Amino acid sequence: MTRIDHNVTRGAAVSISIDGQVLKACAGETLATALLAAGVDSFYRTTKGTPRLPFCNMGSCFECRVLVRGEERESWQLACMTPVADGMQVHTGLTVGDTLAAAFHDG
Amino acid sequence: MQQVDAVIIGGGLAGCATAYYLSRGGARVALLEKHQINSGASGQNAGSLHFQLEHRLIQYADELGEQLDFYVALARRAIDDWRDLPGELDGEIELAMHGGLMVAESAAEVAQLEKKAAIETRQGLHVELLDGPAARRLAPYLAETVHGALLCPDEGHCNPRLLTAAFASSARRLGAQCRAGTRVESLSRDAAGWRIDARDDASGEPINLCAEAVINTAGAWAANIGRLANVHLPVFPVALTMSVTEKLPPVLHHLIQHVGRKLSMKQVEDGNLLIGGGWSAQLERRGESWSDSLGAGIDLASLRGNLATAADVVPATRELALLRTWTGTTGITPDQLPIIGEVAQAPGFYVATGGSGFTYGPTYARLLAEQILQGQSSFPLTPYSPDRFGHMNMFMGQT
Repeated sequence: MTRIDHNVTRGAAVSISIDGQVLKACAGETLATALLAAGVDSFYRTTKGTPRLPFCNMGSCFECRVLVRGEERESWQLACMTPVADGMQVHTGLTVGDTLAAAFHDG
Repeated sequence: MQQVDAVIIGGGLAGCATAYYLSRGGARVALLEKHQINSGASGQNAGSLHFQLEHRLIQYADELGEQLDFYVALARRAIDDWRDLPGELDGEIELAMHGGLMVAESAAEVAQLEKKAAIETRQGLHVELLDGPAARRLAPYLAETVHGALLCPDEGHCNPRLLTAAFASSARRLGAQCRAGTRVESLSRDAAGWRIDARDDASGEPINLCAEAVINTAGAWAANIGRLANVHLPVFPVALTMSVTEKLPPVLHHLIQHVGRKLSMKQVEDGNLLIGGGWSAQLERRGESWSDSLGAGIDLASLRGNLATAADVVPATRELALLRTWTGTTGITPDQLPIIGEVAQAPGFYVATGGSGFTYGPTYARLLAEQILQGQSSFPLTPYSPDRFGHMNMFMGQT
């Protein structure tokens, strides 16, 4: 997917890291937009390993969850409701149940 | 006019289980349910099997006194009954009895655990007091703030959407008639017994029955059915909130409760966590009465309190997506204990409602059926008899 550039004014360029790869996005975009533009084809995986992509793009379906590493801890975010920010580190294609379950084992 | 031995009013767990045990004992049974089978609290609760004395009872330990001993003695009987159910009922009920932990977060709360453990041990209930580190060895997801926990190895959970249906199906197999969408309009009694006049809601067709025994298992709405028999029953509706999270691989094997805060948490067979513990919801009114058909509304402050309590005790829940929150309406009595037995002022009119109706429902039903069929039950129900509120019916009842 490519961004339309003709006659469109976009926000300032920001750098985000997706699974270790640095990518340019524009301020004002959601993380879902940036990930789809980058061609990410699995935002997260179900317990059975099925890849999932955004469905509703409005915060209801929870199909766009990605793991975002913040300053203190990682947390699952809805990519469609999360604006990109410079320096954001995002992990995609993870099995959500496994990473959530790991938090139970660690206490 | 159809003659049966017993008419049961209310198709929740208590009603369907009573229908099953009465049918198993050879009685001809008709069960009448106004809405759908299992549509009330029996199907809406979170399915906890809590045999330890709960937060709501421990808070009033001094007032309840020796009633608590009886409660625990009955818990032991209920544990045996639950272990028999999977082999006895038609269909899967997703019963899990892997143990329950009731946690404490302060020295005062640990003292509460010790106090209740003394009562429970005296009555032969198996409980074990663990300190914080020992609790976390069993359940590593418990927060560092957990100072201690009381382990009851028999606790667990069962699927509330399956249990009542399994009792109803087993009762039908034994010949019981279970009618949904059937509203009881009047109850009257003469020398021959009770006459029950009901109506099929959809067709308007009248249903007229006569029976020696009428059993009121209308749960939160048992007082309304009491009125049809001209008796006062002190049962009041209370609406509660339950929530379910997304699925996870198996991580939480115990039923988690709290001795000083409202919390229940468990992981069901499908992998979802159910979170509840007695957080209120908003009953709907119709005129000056509580509505028995509108359902109760979600109170957001209450929901936030419930989820915050869950996250305090099990911090890993903070990251889970909430799939759904719903409400259910159960019945509470003035002393928090159930009302089970015959109403002296209305001979042949029995009640079974209130008091941890999911955990103890099968046992209440079984004992009540024994009382009806044999004149006495294999475990005394006298402490729960409606007679303790007999003064309310001095000027009521059947003449």
